[in-house]
Amino acid sequence: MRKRLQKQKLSSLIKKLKEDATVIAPVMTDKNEVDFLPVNSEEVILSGARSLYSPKKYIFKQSESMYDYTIQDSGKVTVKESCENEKQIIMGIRPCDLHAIEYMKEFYSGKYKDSYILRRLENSVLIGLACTEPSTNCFCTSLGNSPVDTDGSDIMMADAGSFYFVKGITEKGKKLIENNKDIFEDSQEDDERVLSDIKESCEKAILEKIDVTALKNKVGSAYNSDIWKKYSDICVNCGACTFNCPTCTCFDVADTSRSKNEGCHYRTWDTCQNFAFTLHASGHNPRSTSEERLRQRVMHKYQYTVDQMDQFSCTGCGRCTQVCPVGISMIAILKDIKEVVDNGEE
Amino acid sequence: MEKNKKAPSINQNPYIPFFGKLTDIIDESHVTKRFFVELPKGHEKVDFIPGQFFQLTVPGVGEIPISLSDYIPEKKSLLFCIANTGIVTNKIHQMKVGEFIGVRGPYGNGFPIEKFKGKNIVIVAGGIGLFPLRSVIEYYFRNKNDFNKLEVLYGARNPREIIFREEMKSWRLKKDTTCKITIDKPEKGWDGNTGFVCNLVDKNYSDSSEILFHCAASERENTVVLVVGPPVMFNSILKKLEEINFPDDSVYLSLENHMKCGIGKCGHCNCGSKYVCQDGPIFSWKELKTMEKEY
Amino acid sequence: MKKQIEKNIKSLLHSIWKSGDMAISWTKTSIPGKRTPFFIKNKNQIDQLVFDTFCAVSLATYLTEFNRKEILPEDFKGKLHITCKPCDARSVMQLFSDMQVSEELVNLIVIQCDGIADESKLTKIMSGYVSNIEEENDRFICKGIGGTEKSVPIRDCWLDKCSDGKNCDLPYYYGYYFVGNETEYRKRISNLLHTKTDLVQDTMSPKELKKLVNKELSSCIRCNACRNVCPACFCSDRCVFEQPKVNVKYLDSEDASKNNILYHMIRFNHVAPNCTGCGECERACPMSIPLSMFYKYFNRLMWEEFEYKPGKTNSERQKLLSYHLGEDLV
Ligand code: SF4
Ligand code: SF4
Ligand code: SF4
Ligand code: SF4
Ligand code: SF4
Ligand code: SF4
Ligand code: SF4
Ligand code: FES
Repeated sequence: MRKRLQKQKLSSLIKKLKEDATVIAPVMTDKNEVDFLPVNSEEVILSGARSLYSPKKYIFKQSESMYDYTIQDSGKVTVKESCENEKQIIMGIRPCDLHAIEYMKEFYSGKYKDSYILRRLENSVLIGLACTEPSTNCFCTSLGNSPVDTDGSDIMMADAGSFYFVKGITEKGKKLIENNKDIFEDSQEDDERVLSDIKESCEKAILEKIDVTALKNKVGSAYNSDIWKKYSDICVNCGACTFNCPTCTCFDVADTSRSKNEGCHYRTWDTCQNFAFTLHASGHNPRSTSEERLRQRVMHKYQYTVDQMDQFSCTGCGRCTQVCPVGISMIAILKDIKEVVDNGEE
Repeated sequence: MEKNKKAPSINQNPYIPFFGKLTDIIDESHVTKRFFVELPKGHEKVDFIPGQFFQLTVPGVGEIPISLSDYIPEKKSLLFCIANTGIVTNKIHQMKVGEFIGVRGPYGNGFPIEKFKGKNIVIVAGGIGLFPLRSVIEYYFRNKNDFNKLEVLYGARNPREIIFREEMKSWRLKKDTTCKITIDKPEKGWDGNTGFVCNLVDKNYSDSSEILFHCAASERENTVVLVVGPPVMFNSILKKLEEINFPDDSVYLSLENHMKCGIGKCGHCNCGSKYVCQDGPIFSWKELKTMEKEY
Repeated sequence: MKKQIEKNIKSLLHSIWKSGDMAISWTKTSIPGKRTPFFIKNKNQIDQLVFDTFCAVSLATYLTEFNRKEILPEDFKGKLHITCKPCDARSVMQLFSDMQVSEELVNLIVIQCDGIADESKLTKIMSGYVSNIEEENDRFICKGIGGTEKSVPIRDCWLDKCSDGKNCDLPYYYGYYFVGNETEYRKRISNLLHTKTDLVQDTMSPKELKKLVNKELSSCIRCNACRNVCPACFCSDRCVFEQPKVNVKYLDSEDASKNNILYHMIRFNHVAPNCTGCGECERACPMSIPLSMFYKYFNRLMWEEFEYKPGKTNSERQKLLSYHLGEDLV
């Protein structure tokens, strides 16, 4: 399903969508940073480089209650599952973040299904936006992705000058377009070309590229190499990289009581960079050094999930590099890994 | 407009526990207790393999993984033996009969017990490592005809910390079963073995394992060794087994990684490409050799 | 001039280097405008050292990590040279006076600083994409998308502390090397305006303060970057938030913003007495939370109450931890 959306019609579309869902889109915050927030229509930013923050927090919340419990007088405990059923429409998601959401969807499925996240995904419509420009740190092409990928979106949009080229991808997306058909216009014969044009110009602007796909299944061989020390020496193990990473899925679980008989079981984001993350009750810590923790992050993204799910859990968005307070660059680490792998093969 | 789908029922949400009543609590040693949890209606049947664990919740305090020591179908109850080591276990120790505790599980792979059929089983445990192995021992006695001999090698820090004293007495009396106990340091009133439990798998030690050292070679070949304890302990055991060239695919270990969710989502127990909570906690030594040393 | 300073640091290091020494300095990365800390473990690495307008990371924080990390090379037996901007040197002073690192171990090299640029500010000005940055006098010439060029005044990208100037004083300490011209430096900083208005005003009512705290701190994501880069937050693995047996890691509520505010309150309490105002917390924060504004407020209070400014010397005891006979009990 192909359509056009005139740019001046965007606000009426958002107004319409807001009638039965929360609409979330990139806007400028008072900190002069672009972030995904619930919007009112006017200020949406659907151009330029990706935002520093990913929309992950609307799928996998920083902190959420899992269930509330009540202890009855008889001592019996009843639980009430926390269950959000609000519909949300997230707009302006860049292709890398769409890949990340795809990954999360698969990760949280499997033998046991994370009801909270899957339910939220079911209640979300994801509207993607092709990247006309990359950010300084983007390296999606290194992972075999492209700035116009549509995987994971329900609807894809691309800036075509005076209008957006709109493509319905899933049934859910097509239905949304159908329901608002008076706002869209029919697309012309060669509108699709805008995607390949954008792809070409955006990919040209991406600053760094190394072929990570060629390293698939080989990254593990760098496990015992000495490249980690160089980075772990300066890494302060903060977790800015993992909390801002759209594919980091780890969380901590805890209980809290509100009164003697009531409380809740909740979870919060957690990071493998944290010392206490793997600390055993006995005091033994399998990843006690900074080196091991930094290596865990890299290995998990480029080797372990390849073993488990046959895919990298990095989309190449470059956020980890951008937020690192001491300038550790993921692409630099990958270059070192490549060297180790290449040398090992000779 | 499509109607909001009904939320999946509580049973489909793997994070939600059911609450079982504590029907009996028995002091074991000065830091450990046994807890019998009655299974509520609708949860009476438990498909369980020895070595698997459950997530126990104390509302308002927290959740922890505890391996099941026994499932008693006749009484519809589960037996957990718990040492008082942290915030949650401390709270559990303060609980009284009649109170309710949250339970979800069983999780993990458990011991590949089918593979052990027809073989001798040597159990090596240090401290509270014997708790999860009790389910194997019970399984052995219930299905005695499927197995050969059983030997329990157990090490405790001091006589007061020895667990399953009574059981061990009765196990000893059974056919084909031996039990050997050692405590770390000599102490007044103790006339048994002293030294670490790895001694018992040392060929030069006076009271070493019957099955491994004092039987025909064919017996040793037909043996599996199950080791549960902290990494320092099992590493020393593995060293001893290496010395006698014991095959690494006949040794099974249980890892104790920090766990939070039990179902492969929270990432805490991640060790290489494995999630200890799902792919483990039981690994053969052979598997362990190929894994990253992050346990 | 900056190139000359960089050269001088290198030759100083060459001249004082003895085998078994180590140095902490900066080097380039492949990202335009990003400099990264660099551990020099043998003499022939000295020439990879970089000092320029982008060396924002304060290296003082690494001095707090020695207890935990094996960052010293195995054959280390000499001195640890550390290159510092004057503001960072004050953090080192504070670590000396808090006895977190021995003065014997550290050789402090203070560098004449001309204001440091924040790469993330420049990135914002360039709408997220910079492929190249050249420095020409007091301007950056940046290349953006499609080769477009933009000239940006360096002052527009300065770290807040640099335009404020309150942190630029040299510490009272005679054990450091100074690279550059000290008189010139003192002259430059005396001309700084010290006019930055503070976010937290003395005249604020508790209600207003609370509102401000809620507004600013609730967007925190608890990444701990502020804690981990802070040279005054030196407990490493022994930090209260890392203790499994206390379980306050993410604190006690399913509402993240409540936890975050509490987290910061705890940090305020722990850190305010020895915060030198280096601004690292704020620079590191991915959520652009103006953390140093709060610390500045505490610093101001301490100055008014005790005439105490952390980081001024290597030996002044923390005022909130010490008591003199005859002092009024507050
Ligand atoms: S990484 Fe690629 S897809 Fe993602 S924002 Fe950058 S250019 Fe777009
Ligand atoms: S953001 Fe940088 S310093 Fe922080 S943990 Fe990640 S790599 Fe280390
Ligand atoms: S690892 Fe870095 S580049 Fe990869 S998805 Fe995460 S934040 Fe993006
Ligand atoms: S293990 Fe680390 S890198 Fe992997 S998802 Fe968890 S926090 Fe992210
Ligand atoms: S927050 Fe407090 S306990 Fe933690 S490192 Fe900082 S000063 Fe230490
Ligand atoms: S609190 Fe912030 S300004 Fe104060 S010493 Fe720590 S990092 Fe520097
Ligand atoms: S650096 Fe910012 S986001 Fe991270 S914990 Fe500190 S205040 Fe919160
Ligand atoms: S315990 Fe959560 S992933 Fe294993």
